[in-house]
Amino acid sequence: MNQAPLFLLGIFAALSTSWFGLVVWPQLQLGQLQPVEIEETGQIYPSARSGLAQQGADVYRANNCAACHTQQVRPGADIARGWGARRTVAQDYLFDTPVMLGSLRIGPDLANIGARQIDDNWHLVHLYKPRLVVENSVMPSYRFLFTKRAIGAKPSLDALKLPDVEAERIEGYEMIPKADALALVAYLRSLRADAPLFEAPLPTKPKPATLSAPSTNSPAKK
Amino acid sequence: MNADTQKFSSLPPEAAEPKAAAGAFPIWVIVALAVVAYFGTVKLDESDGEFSAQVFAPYVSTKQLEDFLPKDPERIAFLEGRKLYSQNCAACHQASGLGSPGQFPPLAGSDWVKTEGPNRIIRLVLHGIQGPIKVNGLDFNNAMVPWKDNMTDQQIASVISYVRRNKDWNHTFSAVTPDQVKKIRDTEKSRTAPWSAEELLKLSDK
Repeated sequence: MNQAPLFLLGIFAALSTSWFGLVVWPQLQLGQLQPVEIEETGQIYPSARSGLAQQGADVYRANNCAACHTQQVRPGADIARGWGARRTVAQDYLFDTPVMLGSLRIGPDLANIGARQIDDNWHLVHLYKPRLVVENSVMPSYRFLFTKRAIGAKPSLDALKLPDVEAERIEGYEMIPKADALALVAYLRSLRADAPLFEAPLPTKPKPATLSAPSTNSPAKK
Repeated sequence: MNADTQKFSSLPPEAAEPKAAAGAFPIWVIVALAVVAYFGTVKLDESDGEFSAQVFAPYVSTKQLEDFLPKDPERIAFLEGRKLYSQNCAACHQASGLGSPGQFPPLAGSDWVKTEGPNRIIRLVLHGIQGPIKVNGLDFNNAMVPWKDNMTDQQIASVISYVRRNKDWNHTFSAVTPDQVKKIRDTEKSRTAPWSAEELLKLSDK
């Protein structure tokens, strides 16, 4: 090896270029992002999560929900599936630490679930036994987030409002969500990426000519 | 010299150490690389989003995004007015425009706002107002600070237009232009004291 300095210089150049392009430049561009005022509504977006929802993020993380659920809406196909009103951008993740983007979609994308499903009881029943509300769901049951309790003089107000088939199966008992379940649902309800941003306008506005056609993937059942 | 060395020295000389050829670089490789580099650069230029942090696919330029922004000048003034209102006015008059009973008069539905012309309200915002005032039949007695030194004609026009044309308050009165504000600012140049309700009511509302 009679050209070692040149060789090492080449390695250094290759590594430093990619480090600059992949780390330094994005940090310079996005590292200082701040919440912005949404012009249409005058609201500040995004805002920090409530304490309960913040705890729910830890439950989401602990149960590795991100293994099967992504939190990123891509332009085109995902919007056609009804997973979001617009694509997600860096601004949407400002208060997420860590950002649980996920990379595998065994279940649907959850970036905008707080706007797509606004019924807390639906979420709780779905966590308790997914197939009660989603036919043929492959999601596991998160039964351990609930306590089974004999119904006393009166049914508890906190108990799940279960579909009849399940209510009959556990007759005389009721399911009470534990704190983790309530926190997780608060977190899910806080997930929404539908504020019209400058860099991600809502597609109700005239579409640019380059917007790709919806993908041929079959849309998810609503 | 023994017989062995004699035997070897008769062999042909050894080949030299191999070296990288210093011959001419084939010209067609250079041309091919140049063509690839050209189309690569063109493709990059089309899809790099100007290397801007604000441009995400499927959008390709900041200009394209700016085209989505409202162009209607009245809409822009309304948005500016709302911002100014929330920064400067909402502390007393509230974001709802309802004020605080007994302390700060309402703007939403106020008979001082829904005049035909903005003659009085411009003066009121420019120089402030002090003393007893009757709004929608209710008595208030407080002071409003002058805004003439803190806001430009454009800003005062925007904020008054916001108050007079806010759909949430069912207001559809005429907008105020910066020229109208400027005219009154010039007319009342010498004025330093705040207005009183009595003085303003003597003026025509147009």
